[in-house]
Amino acid sequence: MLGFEIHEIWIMAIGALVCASCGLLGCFLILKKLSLMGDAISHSVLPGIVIAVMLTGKIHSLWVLLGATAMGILTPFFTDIIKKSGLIHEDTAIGAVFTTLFALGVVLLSRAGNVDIDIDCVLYGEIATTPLDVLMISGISAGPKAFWILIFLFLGNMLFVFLFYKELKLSSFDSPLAKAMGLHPERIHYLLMAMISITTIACFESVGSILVIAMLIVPGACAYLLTHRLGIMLVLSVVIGILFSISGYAITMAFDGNVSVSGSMTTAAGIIFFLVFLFSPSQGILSRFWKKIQNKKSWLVDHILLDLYRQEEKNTTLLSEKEFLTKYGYNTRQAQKTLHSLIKAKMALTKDNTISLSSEGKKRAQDLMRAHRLWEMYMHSLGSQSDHVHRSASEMEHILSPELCEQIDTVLDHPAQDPHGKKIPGILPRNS
Amino acid sequence: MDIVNEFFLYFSDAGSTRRIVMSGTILLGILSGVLGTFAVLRRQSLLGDAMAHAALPGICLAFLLTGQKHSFFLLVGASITGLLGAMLIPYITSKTKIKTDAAMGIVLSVFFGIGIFLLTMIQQKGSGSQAGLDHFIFGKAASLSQEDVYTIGFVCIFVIALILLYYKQFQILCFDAAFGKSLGLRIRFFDSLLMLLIVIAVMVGLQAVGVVLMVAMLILPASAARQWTHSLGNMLFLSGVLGAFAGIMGAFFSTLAPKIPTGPVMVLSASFILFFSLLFSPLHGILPKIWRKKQQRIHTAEEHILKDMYRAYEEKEDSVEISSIWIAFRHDSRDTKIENNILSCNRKMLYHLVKKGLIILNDNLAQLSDKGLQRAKILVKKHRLWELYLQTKMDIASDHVHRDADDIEHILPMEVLEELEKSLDLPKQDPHGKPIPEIHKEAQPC
Repeated sequence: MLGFEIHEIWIMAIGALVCASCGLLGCFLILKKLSLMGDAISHSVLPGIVIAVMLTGKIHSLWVLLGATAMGILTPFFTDIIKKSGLIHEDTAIGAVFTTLFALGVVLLSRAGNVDIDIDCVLYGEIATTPLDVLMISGISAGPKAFWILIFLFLGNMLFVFLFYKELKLSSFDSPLAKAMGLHPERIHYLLMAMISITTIACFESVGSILVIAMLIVPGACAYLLTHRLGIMLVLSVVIGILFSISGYAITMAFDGNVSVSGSMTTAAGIIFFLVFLFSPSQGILSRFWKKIQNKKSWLVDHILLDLYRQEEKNTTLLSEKEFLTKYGYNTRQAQKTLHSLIKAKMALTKDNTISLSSEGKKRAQDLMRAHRLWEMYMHSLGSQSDHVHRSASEMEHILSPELCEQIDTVLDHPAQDPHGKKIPGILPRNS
Repeated sequence: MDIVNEFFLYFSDAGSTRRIVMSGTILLGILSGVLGTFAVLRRQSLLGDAMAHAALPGICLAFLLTGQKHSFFLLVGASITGLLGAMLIPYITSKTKIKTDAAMGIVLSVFFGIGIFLLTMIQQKGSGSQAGLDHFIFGKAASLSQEDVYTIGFVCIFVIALILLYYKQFQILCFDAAFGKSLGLRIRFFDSLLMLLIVIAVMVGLQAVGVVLMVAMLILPASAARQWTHSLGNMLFLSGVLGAFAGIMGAFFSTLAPKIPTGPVMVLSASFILFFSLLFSPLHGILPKIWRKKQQRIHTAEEHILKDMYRAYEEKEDSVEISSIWIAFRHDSRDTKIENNILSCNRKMLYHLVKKGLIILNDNLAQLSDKGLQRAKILVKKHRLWELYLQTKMDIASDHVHRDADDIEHILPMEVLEELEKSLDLPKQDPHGKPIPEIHKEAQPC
């Protein structure tokens, strides 16, 4: 099947379920600015696990889940108590609570002779061996146990988000409003923390804590950079989580399986986050850089058109390309190139070694000039000195919409001249 | 007595290992306490967490590149990736809408994941010398060497010297960085310097107590110190002392029983100090707050009794039956919770007032003493003046002013009372037509 062996598909499926389950809840942590709560909870469940194991003597039992969940809920609870002292900030309080509980867990672990918990295993997890622990139903193998546990977890998380969508949404974005509407944001908060604790515990055994911490934050953060809508963000975080799992396993394979699968998946998450960070259409730094360059280019086009218009307005002899460029202070190659592209686009014409606007170019230039001079007039009417209005108008000319221009025109009672006595071009009849 | 004996044995012990461990943990406590103060005040306490995790890939890379487990190379590698992680956090937040907490989480988990990726790669190569690299994650305080202690000591002195040298700059950085910038201080330089110092401290501490517990040592002593003082200097000092104390406790208790790790015990000691501070610190402690609230409640109840006695006095009754006080008070009371509380401890309160010499008891009759009369007069005056003030200056209907006056009469200072009287032109009657008592200046209690 696609060149993968069956146990590899199980590994990827388990990884994908972990990433998707964590990613779904992680979205709300990011929106609530509590991302580090995932980190905190995954550390502070340790004493809960150790105590449960010490009391029952078994590593796989419901008590372990209960103990861990209790500690998970106690973490935000203690955090709130410490925060109430009024002198300690939330993140400090989180740090104080989870490190204390973790230390308590380590000490308990060292005292508990009968407990066999391998901290290495808690950290890295053993996702590579999960397919070996198979669930047998009346003698027939039904796939790895971890898979079935995680699929229940994933469905549980989906159900949780589906049932409490409105409450979660409102308490993430506007907690006071949620409270005023009687939606009990505190209860939802603790319910979310409980779900995160359960998720953390259920995922621990198969993938280790570090992947859980990463997956509680990174898929949500990627989705957050790609959309502004909560619903889409949730779907995206699940998709991205699955992507992390597959690409992470691909990295493991590239190293002949000699590296930790959880480590690879986290590394893949880091790489994909970096790519999103660079290329996200609305937020990515490269896309914004690209937009900035495009903006600059279009401004340059506008400025050249305006200067050609000014030159023609003066009614003096026509200039050659070179003369025009030197006269208006365009000394970059960029400007030269732009002028050539304008000629190519038939916005400007060259005739007998002179340069002038084409009728199409003139239309565009006239619109721009109208915006420019109307804005100058408007600034002047607001009390600005006539020699202070040019700079602001040079920026606004690119932004003002025709509708806004007409409104300004009406407000100023259809002026004929700008503050420098230059003519304001009229509106050209459209489509002619 | 066993513990005391142990304690003396500890210091008389000729074996130097224990003493090395203890001096190491003490120095580490001081170092993290002092630097933690800045981290906590600047709301960067979990930055240490992120940096400590981000150190792991550096450690692994240093090992991969040099093939040696010399702690110097590992420290350099750790510092480089740790610092890189710390610098990425503000970069991510400034370029996108991602907030600081999420940026920290991303850096922390991704760097650590990459570290584990590299660590497993090293382990698979299995050259044998890699064993112990993960001590950087979990720490092994018991294996601190003389050399390590010297390193920690040197860093400790270096950090304290720098802080003393640039105390003013660091202070401004903590409380008003924008103001510092306007003064022409190189705020960004000191910001980076502080970050570098925290990175170094974390790296030094990693080996002794491990990632998580190093973060704890940055946060806990400083948070505890914050509960006791409002001054930066005191907080730095106290935080260092508390850190050292946690170090002593950690080193000592872990020797009491076998297999107890030093680092976590040290952290638990620091947690205990924080817990104690949260409960008992006089500034914001939970218990002092409850105590003050209770005192205030008793004070209010006492004053209500005095006021009721005064009303009886106004109606020309020299003394009243004790039982009637409660009845009168019950009528007056609007808050049933307070009322119940009062009725349950009424006897006690009355004897309090007798003890203070405000009320004189004759069998079943109670009477205001001269002193008590004076107190009651002031109280009633405050009450009635406030009612009048609300009515005339605030345009509140006369049947709505009583409740507010009931609250304010306990807290209005004497100076304000005089001001009120002046601004109301020395009135004689309150809005209900009751006389406002006159107080003789010389008889005023101070």
